[in-house]
Amino acid sequence: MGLTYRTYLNGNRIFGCSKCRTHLSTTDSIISKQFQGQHGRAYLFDTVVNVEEGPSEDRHMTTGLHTVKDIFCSRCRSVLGWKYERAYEQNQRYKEGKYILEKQLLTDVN
Amino acid sequence: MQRTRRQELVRLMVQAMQDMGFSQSAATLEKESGFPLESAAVAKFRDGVLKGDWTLVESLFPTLELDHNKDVVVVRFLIRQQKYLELLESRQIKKALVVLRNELAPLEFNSERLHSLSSFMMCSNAEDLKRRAEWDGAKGTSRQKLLVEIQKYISPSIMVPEHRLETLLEQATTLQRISCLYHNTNEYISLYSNHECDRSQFPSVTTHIFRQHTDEVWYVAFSNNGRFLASASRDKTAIIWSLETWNLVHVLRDHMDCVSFLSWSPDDSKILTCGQDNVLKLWSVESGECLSTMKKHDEPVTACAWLPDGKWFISGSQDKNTYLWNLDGTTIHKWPGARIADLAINKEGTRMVAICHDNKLHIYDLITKKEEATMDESAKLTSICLSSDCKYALVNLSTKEIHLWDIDERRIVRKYLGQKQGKFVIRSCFGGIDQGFIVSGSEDSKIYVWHREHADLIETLSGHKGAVNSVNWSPVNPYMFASAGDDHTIRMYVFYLILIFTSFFISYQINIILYMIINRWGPPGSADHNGKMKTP
Repeated sequence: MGLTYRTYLNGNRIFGCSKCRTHLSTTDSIISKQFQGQHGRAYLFDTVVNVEEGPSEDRHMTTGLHTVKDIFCSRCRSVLGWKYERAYEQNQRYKEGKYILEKQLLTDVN
Repeated sequence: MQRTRRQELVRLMVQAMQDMGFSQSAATLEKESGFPLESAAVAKFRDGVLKGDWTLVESLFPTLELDHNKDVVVVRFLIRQQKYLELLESRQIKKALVVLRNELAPLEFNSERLHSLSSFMMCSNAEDLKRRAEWDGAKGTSRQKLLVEIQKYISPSIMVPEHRLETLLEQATTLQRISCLYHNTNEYISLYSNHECDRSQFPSVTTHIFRQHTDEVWYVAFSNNGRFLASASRDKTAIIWSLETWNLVHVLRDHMDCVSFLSWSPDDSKILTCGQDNVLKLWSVESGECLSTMKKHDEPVTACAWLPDGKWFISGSQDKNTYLWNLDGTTIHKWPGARIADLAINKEGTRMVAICHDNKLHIYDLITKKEEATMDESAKLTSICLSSDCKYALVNLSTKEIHLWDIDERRIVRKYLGQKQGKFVIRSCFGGIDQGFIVSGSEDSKIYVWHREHADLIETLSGHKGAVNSVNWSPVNPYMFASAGDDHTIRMYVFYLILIFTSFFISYQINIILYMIINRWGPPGSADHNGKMKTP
């Protein structure tokens, strides 16, 4: 795959990859802060940039069965969280198409 | 042929013969066809102006069939102005004054000019007059110029414009040149047959492949003298190749991360490379050594360009700062504000055009260092290339379009469609002898070539496996260009003119041999052993 330039965001508070500081998302995009990932707290974001998606997997989570794709930083390829592809319970459908980023793997970028 | 067309053609031919000096033939043609080039009155008028016989000229006015009354006034003013200036030149001041008062002033036309004319009375001598009025005198070209001026107000069928047939032929050859899809030659266009460049003359065949890079190649650029090619790659190196020996010359290895762009200095002695490790490196072309490293950007350096004297260069980056550097590594100026994806500088070094992250083109005046203008684009821009006359800029959009912008008029003049791009940075360039081709890479591994004027897609070249990231045309050889691909290779497309002559010669030889074979050992009924025809 060829040369890509990273996307840059504007906003008050920008979250970036903790390893390479690539912009990922902003506070405006947060839907919920009440999620749990493998490394502790995680946030549900509406839109995220500069990430690549892995293959689809079915996972059983505390909230039920979901189809998810792990997401990686496009620059340093470190795992950042996952994206919800499908939710199999009606009350979980709001998560479809949204992204989870783990708080531990993020850093503030001004 | 229609009667009107016949008359027009004959009169044009008469004029052309007269222009070429064949006045006898011209007169014969006029007599034989019955179509004089000019009516007697018009001929007298033309003669009168060239001889300065102003009374005769004015008396012939009605024959000219000038359209509007306004035109009559203008022509009269022009004639009388010439009369006045000639009188002043020959120092007949009193007569000149009479002309000014009684002939020029009553026309009530162009009072500003009238004032200037009256001021010429003060000129001390003819030389002074000529200088002040920007007029070269009765013996100079002023009378011919007057005639050309007057002709603008006379119907062209009465007085045929000068060199009209020649003008028409120029238009025809220009039309043929513009319609020629593969036009890539400066040869003289003959009038005997329609000009059409052959498709086989376009460099569509890969003649060399350079394989030494170990990862995707993102950029290629010819040196200004056309003798070398340099490439930038994801394998963290840049390589210089010789286009004379077709071999690798140097591997420039020092960057900590991928090299995404490079630029040859105007004298081709140095190369600047831009890295995703946020630094700019200066290399010597001769030794392949890194001369200096410039660490000022906080984000990947995306593009750089030299100023024409080779002492300064500009670097653009995603960190919102664009710097003007000195060769010794100090920054002289900073333009803050835009995240630059690509930039280009014009030949004189007076203007820089850059594309930024916000889908805009920025034009900077390099002398005042101020931003001249911003132009909005509809989608993400991935590359910019300036034409050699620096009047046009070619930009690639991630929505699979390429736009040609007129920089002075600040508008899009052409759009080229067909190539595929969306995720990656794909670059394009101008090609061919008059930059009549637009060439671009594409994510579908093909190279696309369009005719610049018509925006027709004329070629799609396959060969690379994987996206073609960058294409560059040789600045000295109109039949050579290079492309860089994700498949780690660089392909050279060269058309050798000598191949045509070789194949003609060989086919001619083969023809001769075949002819001899058939005639010596041919079917019955043909010439026998001794070359005699067998009679039945």
